[in-house]
Amino acid sequence: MDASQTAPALKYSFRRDQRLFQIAFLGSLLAFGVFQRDFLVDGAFVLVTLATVWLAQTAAILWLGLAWNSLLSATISGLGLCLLCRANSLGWVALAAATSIASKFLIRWKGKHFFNPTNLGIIVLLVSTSSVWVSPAQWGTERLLVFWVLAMGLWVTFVSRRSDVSLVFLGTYVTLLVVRVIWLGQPTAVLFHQLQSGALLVFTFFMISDPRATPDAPTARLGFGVAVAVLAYVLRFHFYSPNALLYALFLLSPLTPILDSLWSTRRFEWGMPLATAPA
Amino acid sequence: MRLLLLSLLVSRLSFGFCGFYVAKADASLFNRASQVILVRDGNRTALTMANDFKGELSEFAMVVPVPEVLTREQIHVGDRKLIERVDNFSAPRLVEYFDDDPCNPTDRMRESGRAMMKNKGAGPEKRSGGAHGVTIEARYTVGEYDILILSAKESGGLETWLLDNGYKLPKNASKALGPYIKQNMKFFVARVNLKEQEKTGFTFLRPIQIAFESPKFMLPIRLGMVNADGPQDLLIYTITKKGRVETTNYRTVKLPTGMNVPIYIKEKFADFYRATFDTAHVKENKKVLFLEYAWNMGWCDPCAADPLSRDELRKLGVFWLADADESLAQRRRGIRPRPGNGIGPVDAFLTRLHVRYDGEHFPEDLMFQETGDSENFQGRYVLQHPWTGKSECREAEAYRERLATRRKEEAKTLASLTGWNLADITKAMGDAPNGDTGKKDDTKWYQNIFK
Repeated sequence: MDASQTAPALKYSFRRDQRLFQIAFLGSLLAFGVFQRDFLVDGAFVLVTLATVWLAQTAAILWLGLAWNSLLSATISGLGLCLLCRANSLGWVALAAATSIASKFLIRWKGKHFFNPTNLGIIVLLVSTSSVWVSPAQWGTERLLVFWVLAMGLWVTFVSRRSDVSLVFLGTYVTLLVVRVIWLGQPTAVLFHQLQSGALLVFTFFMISDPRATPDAPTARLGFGVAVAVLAYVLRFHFYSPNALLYALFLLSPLTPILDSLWSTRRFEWGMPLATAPA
Repeated sequence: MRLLLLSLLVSRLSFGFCGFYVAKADASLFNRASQVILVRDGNRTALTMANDFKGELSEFAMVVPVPEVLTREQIHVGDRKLIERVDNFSAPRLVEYFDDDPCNPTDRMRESGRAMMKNKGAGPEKRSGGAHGVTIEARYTVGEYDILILSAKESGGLETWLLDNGYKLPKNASKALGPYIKQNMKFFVARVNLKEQEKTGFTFLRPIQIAFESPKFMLPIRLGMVNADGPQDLLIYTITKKGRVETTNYRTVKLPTGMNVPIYIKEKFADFYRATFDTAHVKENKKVLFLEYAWNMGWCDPCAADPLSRDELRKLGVFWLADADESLAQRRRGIRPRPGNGIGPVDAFLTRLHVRYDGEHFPEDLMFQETGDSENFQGRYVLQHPWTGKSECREAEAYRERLATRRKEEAKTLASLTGWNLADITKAMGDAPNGDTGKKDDTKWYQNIFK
């Protein structure tokens, strides 16, 4: 991401960059998917996606004079696409990847992009072609549990400053699911089944938590997390959208600049020490 | 509005059900299998529920949650042959190839395909039955069926109403009905009108078709589990405009396909396929749906049965194929069909999903989505017949050596697909043709004892 745009007060440290953990996690989840599950993702898919995001990001780095470490953000966007996006030809994959990265530089408000790039790339193609889709259920259930635990642990340990939005979103969403299951008189197995979703996991920890695409102020961020959860619930259970989570975040992302202008606080930057990183 | 679907078969005496029919073990490949055809584009859905019920017709009854009160025009009684056509067309198949004479290679490859799966079956005896907050929203007689559309305020009331009207329900029926009532769904209740049934001249029940609009692309399988005493098989055929259909709340897994299996499987294909499915089902922890077929409905290669005509597709509810005759005529005039057989690509993509479900592994109804994936897929197993000629040449020797290895591979593949014992398979395969007795086995004596 364009970390160089707002001059950080502290020096960037590659080793402290939380994005490395995210890449490691997403990479292992992808490997799990490719080798263990019928993901419809092969080497070519991954290669085209990553090559496209790197190429697009490099162009932006050279053009806009951004820091090279922003390639890490592009890698995260690319891995997110590999995990969520499915297409019937590699051309669509490349287009989704290019759209994701381009959106960071084309759709901005006061020097900050407010759409999560992966989210935007998928949604734009979902609505514009039937050749792209998201397969939320292709993850299986049992072993996914391990990834849930791992994701929580890593997140809390390494990226806790921004984990609040993930946890608030998840808490609200799960509460709504619980209420619904109780209201319908369904067995608790239904609830667990609904939670054992790889798409929900990736969304919670690697998409809605995107510090660039969420409000900077803690209060605003909490409100944002709740709003996305409520909208996702409504879209899923009243409009029957299989991609409710993605649409909810996409529709509410424009709130980020508005909330930021209401609560002014220091802008998030990658690679800062946790103790001094902006809350 | 919600979607609808499947079923609850109730009866006065027993509540044996779950899908639409219960098949006899000796007459069908899979016991207790139901079939539904789901045609969908946008929010429009046409649903055909196959009913191979063969008990006393007076004792048949069925309850299906539906998203809205259906009008008379939304209900139709279809032709049972259509279901068989779709089943045969999409069934997992065996294909045969014949090796060339290694001394005189020619293009002698022959291929034949045939589908061996049939879902025929008979049901055990069923009895059918018949204001607690229950409203009869509509009442129709369609074909041989008397149909009621019920709405209910609470599940206890509906249960009582059904009991009062002669339906025998299992204990936890109320609990299963509850979620559908809370979601404001209506209940489609069908039983046989014997007088009308006599007029049809049929000894069986024809499939019920309903058409409705709902944003929810799903099948309510939970109701069918109420009295289930074991897992049930359900074949779901979807016909959509563009691509493959998959479930959004369970994994959809491709059936193992394309393997070479020993020749003797030709005579045991039903056993083979049942075992293959059983093995795959267990391997996936009983939690997935299997994709058995995905293909444009216009052609097939190899064909297990002729592709459905546009007229047949329309009868199944493929509403977007309105000008079937005219389009067909146009195709015949100008467009060459694709390889294989067929009328050429049509805007109809068939997905065949096979699920074996029970309450424990499938806590939720099945939710679907259409994907943009139009890649062809079929459950297909290959018989490669060895060359049986007597020619002698250096190539023939090499061929025989390869053949021995190939036979071993085929045996191993079969064992791994079906879970059958390798020694039994080898025995059943018999001797290889042309002097290869199959005894040229390089298995070490100790490899078998500690298995």
